[in-house]
Amino acid sequence: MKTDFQQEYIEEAKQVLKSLQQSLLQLADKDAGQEEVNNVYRYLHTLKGSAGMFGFHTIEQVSHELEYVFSDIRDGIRQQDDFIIDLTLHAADVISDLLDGKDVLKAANKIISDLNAVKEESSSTLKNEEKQDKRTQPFAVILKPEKEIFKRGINFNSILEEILELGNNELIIHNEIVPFQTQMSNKEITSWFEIILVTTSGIDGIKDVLMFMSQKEYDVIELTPETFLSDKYKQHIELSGAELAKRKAILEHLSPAAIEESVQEITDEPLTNGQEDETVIIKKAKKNGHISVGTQKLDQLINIVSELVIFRSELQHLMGEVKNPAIVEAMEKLERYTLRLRDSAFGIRLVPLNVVNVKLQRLIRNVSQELGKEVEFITEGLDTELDRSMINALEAPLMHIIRNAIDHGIETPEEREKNNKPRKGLLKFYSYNSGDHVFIQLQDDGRGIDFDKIQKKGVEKGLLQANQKYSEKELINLMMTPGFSTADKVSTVSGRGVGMDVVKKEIAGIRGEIEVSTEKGLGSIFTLRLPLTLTILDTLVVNVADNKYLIPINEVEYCYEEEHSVLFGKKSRQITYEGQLTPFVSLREFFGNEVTNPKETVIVIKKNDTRIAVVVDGIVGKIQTVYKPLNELLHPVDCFSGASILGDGTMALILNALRLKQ
Amino acid sequence: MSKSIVVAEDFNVSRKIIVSTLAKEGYTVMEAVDGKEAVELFDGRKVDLLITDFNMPHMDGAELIQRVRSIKRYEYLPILLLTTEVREEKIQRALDGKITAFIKKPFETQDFVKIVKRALS
Repeated sequence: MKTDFQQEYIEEAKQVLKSLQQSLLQLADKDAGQEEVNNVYRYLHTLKGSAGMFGFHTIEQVSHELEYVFSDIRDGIRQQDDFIIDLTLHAADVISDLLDGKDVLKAANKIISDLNAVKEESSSTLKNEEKQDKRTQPFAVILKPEKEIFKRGINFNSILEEILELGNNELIIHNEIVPFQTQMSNKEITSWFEIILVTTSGIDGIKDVLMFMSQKEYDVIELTPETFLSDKYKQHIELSGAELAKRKAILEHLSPAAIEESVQEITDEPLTNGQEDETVIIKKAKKNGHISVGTQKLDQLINIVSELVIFRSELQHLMGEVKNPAIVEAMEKLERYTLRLRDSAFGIRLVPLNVVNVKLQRLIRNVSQELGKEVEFITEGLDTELDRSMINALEAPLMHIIRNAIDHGIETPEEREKNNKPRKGLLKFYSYNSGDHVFIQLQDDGRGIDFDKIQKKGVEKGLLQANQKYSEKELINLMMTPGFSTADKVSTVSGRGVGMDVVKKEIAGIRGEIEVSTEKGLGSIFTLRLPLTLTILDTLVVNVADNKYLIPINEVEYCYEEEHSVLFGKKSRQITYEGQLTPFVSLREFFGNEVTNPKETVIVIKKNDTRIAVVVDGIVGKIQTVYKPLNELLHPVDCFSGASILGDGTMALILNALRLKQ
Repeated sequence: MSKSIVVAEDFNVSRKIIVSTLAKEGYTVMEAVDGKEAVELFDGRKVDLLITDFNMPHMDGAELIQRVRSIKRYEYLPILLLTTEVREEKIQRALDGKITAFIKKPFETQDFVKIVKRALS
């Protein structure tokens, strides 16, 4: 039986392991610098600290050995290398297994003996010279960019960030009359910046970052506590007694001897905010407070808020045409606050995509090692937020796409060199918000999708005609059909029969869409288009023979009224929209009602680049609804994607218009 | 997506050197022999960096830069200007505050790549 405390430790340790892996991957990827090494060291220290207390002695031992090695790396006694990173990653897995109560003692002991071997090897080769080079040194970096520095094509924001990334630091912003963030978004800098930086990069490393700033826009001063009063410093700022004391304290706090302690304390203590009005001190490593809440509680909250949203529209519906201004005003307030409540409640569920990053990076590392390929993974927009449940559902499809990209897309280093490509394949993960959708793109610069191969395979499988020409779109569709896989050999990586069809199905399961574009020899792009939240939907309410149906508003392109005779006078069920013939479906007809309206309402729907029009009796209005999935039993009826409760308490089905055609 | 760079330089040899250097680094490079061609390259594409010579036929570097800057999405585009030592001062006056950096010709490939990387960061 695990005690409550143990359970808590396990949860916490898993969090730490996750962060640890992330830092390790960053270290492995590029020279992430001192800070990341410090992080790794800190995580290991945390793991070790509480493991012993809760009786996880093997974990304590493993993390202790690792901590030892990383403290050497931190102090410059040892160079980090792939072996150590891999070993530590492996150790993280083993620790995770240990936490789950699995019997992996053998593996743990192997790690400990490996680490001991590493330790011995290093004690004989102390690298003293390098230690000299990598000495940490304090600097003051003064940045006085001209107001319009952005107009020169210089992103000052990223320069500032890069400087801060060089080491432990304090940023002091002077003349912050306009808030810093506003200055950045307006691209007009009116403040100047004083950074106290403790770094191993040296003066050249700092100047490297400032390459594009002119001589008069910056100054780098080597720091000792006395420097603050020197003429060099005075030409920028004359420090009063209190300000001087503060800078001295900062310097002391940041200097190498103090780092170890400062890393341990995760306090939020606000810095004594003297009498200055103009200077604001931003503590860099500040942590926002976090509490973890069970998902059940969260789901409950979301449910209640959803019901409240419905109840509010029901109330409005009941009130009808009330003219009393006080009531109308109260209703408006109620609406405003319900919507705000809804937004923040749903906001809680949003999680940045970053959480899957570690898994993806490890996958890429493993798969590329297994297949002997070299892959550089670049991410952008990992701060894009998505509903928690959606992120869970996304994990498997993303991993599958990446596996495919490395296996089928990216060539071996030799082949790439032959084709004048860099040895390292590029895999880019790109994510952004657009409207009420989130887009995720996975792009590789591999050989692209081989359409001839797909066609050949399709013919073999009897899915295609041998002598017919198929469009790329058709072949991509075929690629996503169940049981289709083009791998010549069945490897563990991809080509196990379950393939793109599963990805497509899983993405569709969260109301997302997938699109593929590819160019032979240049690579492919997989684009996932996902709704922002799973549960709230803006819809157009239409009625058909006394029943109401909902159409997601983002699919609606155009609505108009038309005489019945004009629509149904022709043989084919088609309208002309923007010069193109577009098929239409009369819902009265579709649901087996008599078609009698003299005037019809046509709604043009566009989804996945395909247009279809539906003909209904009329439009009732636009409402925001809470999406409820249909019961499993109704799944074969795929012309509806879900259901929702309307303001008057009745139920309405949400149309999946593209499915009406079949 | 690899970063796209437009290179405008009328002198064939140096343009080829620049293009091949950048291509080796994995960038997507589009080349133009003068400002006029370069402006066309900006049409309907995403460009992350412009590297241009100052003296070119048809449309010179100064006008090219002015045209590009007047496009809303390229208001803050990093721009590197290739110059020879002699002209630098005159050009500096003309383009002050509009470009990211000057690159003196001839240059060391290593330094050049370093500058480009920084401009794209």
